[in-house]
Amino acid sequence: MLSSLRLQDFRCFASLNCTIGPGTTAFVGENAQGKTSLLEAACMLLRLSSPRTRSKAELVRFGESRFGLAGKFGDTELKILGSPRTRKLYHDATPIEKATDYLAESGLVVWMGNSDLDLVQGTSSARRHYLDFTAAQLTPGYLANLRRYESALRSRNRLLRDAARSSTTPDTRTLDAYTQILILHGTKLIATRTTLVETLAPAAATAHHDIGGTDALETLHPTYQPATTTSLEETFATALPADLRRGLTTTGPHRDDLALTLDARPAARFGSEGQQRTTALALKLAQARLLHQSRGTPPLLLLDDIFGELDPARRRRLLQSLPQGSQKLLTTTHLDWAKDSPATPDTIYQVQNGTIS
Amino acid sequence: MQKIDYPPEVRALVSQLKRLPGIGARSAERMAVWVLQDRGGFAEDCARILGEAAERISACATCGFYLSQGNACAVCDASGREVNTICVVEQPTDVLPLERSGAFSGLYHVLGGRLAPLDNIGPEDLRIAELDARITSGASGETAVREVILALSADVEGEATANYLAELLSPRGISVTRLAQGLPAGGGLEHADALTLARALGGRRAL
Repeated sequence: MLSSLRLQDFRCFASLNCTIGPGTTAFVGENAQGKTSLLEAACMLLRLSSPRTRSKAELVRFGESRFGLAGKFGDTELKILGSPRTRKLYHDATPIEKATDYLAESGLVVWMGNSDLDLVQGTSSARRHYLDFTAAQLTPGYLANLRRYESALRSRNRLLRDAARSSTTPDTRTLDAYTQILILHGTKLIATRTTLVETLAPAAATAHHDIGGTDALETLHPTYQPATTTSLEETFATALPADLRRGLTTTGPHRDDLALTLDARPAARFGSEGQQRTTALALKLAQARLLHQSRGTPPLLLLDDIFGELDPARRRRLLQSLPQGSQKLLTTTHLDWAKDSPATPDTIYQVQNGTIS
Repeated sequence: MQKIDYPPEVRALVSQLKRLPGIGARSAERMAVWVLQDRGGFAEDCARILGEAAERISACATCGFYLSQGNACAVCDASGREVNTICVVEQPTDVLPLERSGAFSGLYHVLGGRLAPLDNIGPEDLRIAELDARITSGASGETAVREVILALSADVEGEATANYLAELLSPRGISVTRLAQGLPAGGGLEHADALTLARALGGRRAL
């Protein structure tokens, strides 16, 4: 459980300190006052990853050179000092060298927000990020594999790009040296994603019915669609001419996707806005339930402005479906919806212009 | 109003010091102040030693370790080394730790870096051709080298360099090995991170 959160020069907040209760904490305010940044801070502190950006420079308050985040999670005081180029991690004021060690002591997080609609409507990268964020929390070593894969991919792409631009062929052995790393780590990524989707698919189908209620007549069926079904060795060998021509690695796990169908019809093309929203929520609810199952304790739920957008029936069903006893941080512009809701906030903070009260 | 700045000599000193790895503007300034205040002859000694080192030290044409002008290479010329094993390292500074381990008595080969396409470092920038030549040397191309040990970093660039060398050398019929990764000696399990433990488990051995 997260019991406190402190921000220093993070996004629009100069300095902020708030205590967080075990139940539901609501941050209420107009748009563009910094509500979402508070949830982002909690996500960053617990998972070292932001759902909004991958650039640390964006997190630093304008005109400052670094940000600080801290908070008490369970018995451990977590702290991050970040600047555009660096990041220092602490447990109880002791420096932690490796992100994996930091994350091992930290909690699990599920983020639900309006941008979740990208899971259905957006490009495959949104769905890959969803799979990666889930797998990283469930499978030790997944994140390290992913980072090494990405690092080798950048190098391989640079070799291909430089060669394509100068109309030469890259040194085969150097290219191969990186291809082998892609094969080594990519194979592990595919294996983890395969087993993940196997457990995720039935959970998502159930979650979809739980949220949609009688409106959700269709069955949601997420299927893992690896960019390639042959072995990676064969894949990269076959794709080499295309890679050379286009100056980048054209296929591989970095092009994987998660297909979403409602009764065999692609949700992105055939679903109504409401059906798509239910689908996106179902994926996140399934994520929450999977994390709850694996760790035994429910994950921290970060709910960014989602309740205003839902009709009362689906809102009630979603709230009832969330893992029992989970701690929730939510943002909203108004609390009218909460009057007859099962998740009446225990603590309410008003957020205005980078301060809270 | 005219802007006040250090005299050009001080600025030149600071900007040179700033070029050293790991030295930022503030540290460079502090070092410059120290050098200028010092009356023990540091500046003169340092200038002379720097000049001599830059002039007299080069890389050994065979192994790539530091070579002092007019002297034989301390690594290649050492007696009693096993000539059929070569240990490949990235930098000259990697040689001494391996020597101190006392567990290796073969020859060394310093690459002078590792493959890093993002920094524009390719095989031609490393001493790979020299390694190749060392292995093929001898009449009619036969070689005395039976094993090449790759002692490179465990990051992606080091891994890629190891892959490159393995592919280059394996058709020669010599065995190519790399250092094992695992638990630090004398350390308890509780101090090892997850990745190290996973690799230590993967590389376990029968007793």
